Amino acid sequence: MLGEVTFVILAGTAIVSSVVMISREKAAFGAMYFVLTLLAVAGIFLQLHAPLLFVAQWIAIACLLLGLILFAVEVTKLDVALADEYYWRSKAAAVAVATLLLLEIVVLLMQRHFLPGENATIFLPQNPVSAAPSAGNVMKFFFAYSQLPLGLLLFIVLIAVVGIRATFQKRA
Amino acid sequence: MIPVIHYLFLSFSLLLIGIIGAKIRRNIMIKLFSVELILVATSINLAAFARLFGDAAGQTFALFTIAITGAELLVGAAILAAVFRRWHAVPVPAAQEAPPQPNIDY
Repeated sequence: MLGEVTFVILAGTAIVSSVVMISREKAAFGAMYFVLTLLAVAGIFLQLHAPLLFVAQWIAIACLLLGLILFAVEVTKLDVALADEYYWRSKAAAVAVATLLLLEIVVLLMQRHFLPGENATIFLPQNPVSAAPSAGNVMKFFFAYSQLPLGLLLFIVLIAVVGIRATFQKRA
Repeated sequence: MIPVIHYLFLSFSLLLIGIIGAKIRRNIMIKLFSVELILVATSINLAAFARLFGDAAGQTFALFTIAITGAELLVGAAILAAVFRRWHAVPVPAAQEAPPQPNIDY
């Protein structure tokens, strides 16, 4: 029961904040609601027994990168250049999305209360077929069976090379 | 245990919101956030199926998706900042032209 209540709160927070994000006029406020969405999704990762994803989401994105995004929004003043945006379209889209999601929730509740079982899950097992993978298993897969660390390292090196090149080009 | 279909509905909702935001908004930052929202929906799907089948591969790829999301956010913001700075600099050369020099015969 507690898990279901937590899921409803987290999922509602994620959906509502993402709807608000795409309907905000200023990008800085949108970034703040985007942070809220990411934090709610991080909670859902924790509920899915994925502590590594929780930590990665919470630290890498919500805390570190969004600060840089806010800094970029503030520095570039993108909102000033885009002041002629058709704001009513965003509002109309937000209302349409909210209506769709409300319909979706109503259908879900109707299914749960008035139909035997859940027809939508006919191709999926109702309960997990095995225990959740532990963090150790994930890290073992990460390091032993795939080349993801190497790929990430190469990506970081690529970013560093581009940054160095841009810096020296600017100085020249 | 919450059924997987709930996670799939949440993922679908975030995907839908992301697509709509990327389609209708003209603010480039909101477009970027909407694309990130689509990637977040993907990682929810991966984590949900990893929980359902007890497979570590789903969480690993979700981890990779999160890393890609962060890198894309960072690189996208940096590119936008650079382009916008250059954008403002485009009309500047006309105003920064050197003033006409007086004709002086030495």
